[in-house]
Amino acid sequence: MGKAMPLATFSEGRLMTPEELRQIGIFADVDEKALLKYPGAVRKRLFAAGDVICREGEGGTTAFYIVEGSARVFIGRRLDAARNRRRKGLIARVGEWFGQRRLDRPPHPADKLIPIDATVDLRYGDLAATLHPGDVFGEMSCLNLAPRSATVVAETDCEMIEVLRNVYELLQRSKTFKAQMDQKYRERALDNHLRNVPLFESLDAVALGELKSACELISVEAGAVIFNEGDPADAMYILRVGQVRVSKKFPGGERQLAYLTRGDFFGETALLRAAPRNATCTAVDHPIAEAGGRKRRPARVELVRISAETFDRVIRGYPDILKRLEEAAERRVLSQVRAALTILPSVPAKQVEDLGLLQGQNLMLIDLEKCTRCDQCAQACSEAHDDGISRLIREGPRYDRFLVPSSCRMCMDPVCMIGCPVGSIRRTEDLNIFIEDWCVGCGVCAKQCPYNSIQLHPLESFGEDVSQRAKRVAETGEVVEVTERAVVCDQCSSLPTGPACVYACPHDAAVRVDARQFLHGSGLAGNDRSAL
Amino acid sequence: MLINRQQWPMIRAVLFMSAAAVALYIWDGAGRPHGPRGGSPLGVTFGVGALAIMIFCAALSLKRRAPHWRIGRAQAWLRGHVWLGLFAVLLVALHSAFHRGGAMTTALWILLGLVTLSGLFGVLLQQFIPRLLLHAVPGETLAQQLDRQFINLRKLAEQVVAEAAGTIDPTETGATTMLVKQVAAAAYASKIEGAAQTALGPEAMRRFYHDYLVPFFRGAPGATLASRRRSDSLFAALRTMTPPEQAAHVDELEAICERRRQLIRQRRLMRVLFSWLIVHVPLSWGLLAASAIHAVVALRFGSAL
Repeated sequence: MGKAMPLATFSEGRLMTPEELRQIGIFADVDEKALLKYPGAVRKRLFAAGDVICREGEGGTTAFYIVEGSARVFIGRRLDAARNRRRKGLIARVGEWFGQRRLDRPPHPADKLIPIDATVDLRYGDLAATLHPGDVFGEMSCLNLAPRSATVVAETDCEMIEVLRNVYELLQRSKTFKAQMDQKYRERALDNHLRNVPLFESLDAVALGELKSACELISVEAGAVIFNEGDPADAMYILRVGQVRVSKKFPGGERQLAYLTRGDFFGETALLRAAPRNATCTAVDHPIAEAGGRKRRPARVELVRISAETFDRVIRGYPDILKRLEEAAERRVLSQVRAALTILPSVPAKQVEDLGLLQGQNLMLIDLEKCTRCDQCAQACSEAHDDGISRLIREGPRYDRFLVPSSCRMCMDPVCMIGCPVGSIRRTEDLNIFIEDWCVGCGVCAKQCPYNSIQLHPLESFGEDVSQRAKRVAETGEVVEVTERAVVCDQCSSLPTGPACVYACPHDAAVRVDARQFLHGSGLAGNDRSAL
Repeated sequence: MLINRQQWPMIRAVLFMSAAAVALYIWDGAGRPHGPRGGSPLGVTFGVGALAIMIFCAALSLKRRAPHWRIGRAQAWLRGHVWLGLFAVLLVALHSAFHRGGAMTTALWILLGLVTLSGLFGVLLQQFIPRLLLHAVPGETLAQQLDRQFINLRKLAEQVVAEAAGTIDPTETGATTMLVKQVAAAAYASKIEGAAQTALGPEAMRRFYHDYLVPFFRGAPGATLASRRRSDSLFAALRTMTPPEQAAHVDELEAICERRRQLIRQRRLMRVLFSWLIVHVPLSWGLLAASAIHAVVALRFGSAL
């Protein structure tokens, strides 16, 4: 770990001429005239061992190519700090004895991959790796303005090339650079990505090698449809760079089922069942880049394509893979069935649209005629989480006599999932939004949520003593890690009684409803008036 | 708790239990030469039942401290608290055979009466105050946020006045009460609004701030802007004295004042909504303690005191 020190900015370092760039292999076949168009877009950077090159969660617009030296890339989150602490006190102890117990989520294995914006991924167990000459990091920040996904500190004295987007796009068109990046990916990440697919984790080295050599590395422009629902299945994909939206048509409209990130796989269900595609997959751009306003070329989404023939050839020799595939496919189908709630064709009132009520698959409403403002709902939410943080803020817009508080409504289109630089926000099989403990606190999900349902909380809320952290930094010179973590309502899915807020409301005022059913039938409320 | 049709199952159950208790009381009393007695087996049963219900009712406050414990939905607890609590009053009456008894039991009766009445008052308040809040305070906020909101509104008002009238000194005291109205009337009467407005605008705004806004934001009793009606006429007067380009500032100030009035109303209503707890909670604990003493003494010494 390096000493905490100010970050260098792009203006530091020395500008490089096209002649100098040509000395570096990756620029060998880049058009010199094109390079001349962007003077100042490439800088040579020298870092001493211990220098911080970038920090997780911060904004960034450049990519780095390591020419010489090595750098440590890591997520500075101490997982023991990020995890929830046990609550103390007599009532909490008694509560543990006969109160509610959360159903345990399966822990992540130490070798679970955490996707970051570099040519390597991190493992959940140590959250650190080393970058070597020829490696690139910061590509997503450069192309998509994504926050930095990890902290990078020079391990030895390093020479790096830092480039802005326009030059990086030139590089992407360079065959030399593309070949080098593909080669790096095959060497350093593809193995892990294939192993990360549960279906392939038990493959022996020979079969994995065969699979690796048969994989195609392809790229598509953001916005392009990778395949449509109903298309014949000709391949499965692993996401290498960027994000992919999975959507499905239901009676009455299309629904976004999930957003996939680096290391995720898709398209295997149809291959397995030799059936048409059951969902549409589209490459998506980063939301921050989309909101940037400046006209820009869509980012590229890079994929690993495993053709149907390769897939068949590999799984034929491995019956256990076939079994795993079937299980995974079954889970996906099940989650789609859960999502297949009828979308009612009625045209919603403008206020319903403005408030985004129809997005809510599990919308929380508080009947203000019944509510005595006792705040038991928020208190119960706080009590139900070991970190003591309430995910419910009893404030928000009103719809008729109902308050629509700030609490996750399990949107049909979970846009909060777009753009997480480390893939820590995900949708569980019961359609809940869940934030993993390796969140780097960059706040993209909170910005993306249109309903203010995701909050960033300082890490001390999760049990880390700030003074201890300061002491640790002073003693060890460890780089200061991010100080916040995003929290979102998990619908208390791990509690047997369901959402604590509803369970604890003594006045029948708090309800969780499917907005479409609730709003159907009358100008206000739905068929299920008994829920009120 | 809103009394609605969802309460019917509980009400029916309590009515049935009440009828059964009264029938037992009459039947038991008919077989005794001196009529029903609290010390009879049935009388003691009524007393123990009432005490058990009181303990259950008191446990609601503990349940509220651990709202997510898996010991029944809070709604069920509250319904039980209200309707079984009323049933307990009947049980106590049957237990005492409708006699006041000695000093201790008289005190118990008084406590029980106060607890019951305060509880019923609370239920009554819950029938209409939430509705009042809903309609009278569209911009309702969290109770904990009220003080912060008041400060923010004051700062916002100062900012608006400063934008319209230049720098203001919040500590300066207003010495010209009603000046604004007088000047407005004069300007209107002389039909020189245009010229007067331009000249008076900043000064009028400053005066308005010192004479009306400052007392209102300080929460001074009887502040003119605390009344919606008087506020309307004051702002109408202010508009006649300010040039058209400051109309937006005046509108904004008016909206800020309205927002503050709403929040004041919210605070007042919420105080009323929770007022009954000041009596109900301590007296309930007192009643429970006194009832426990009464039970121990009566069972141990056979005297009701």
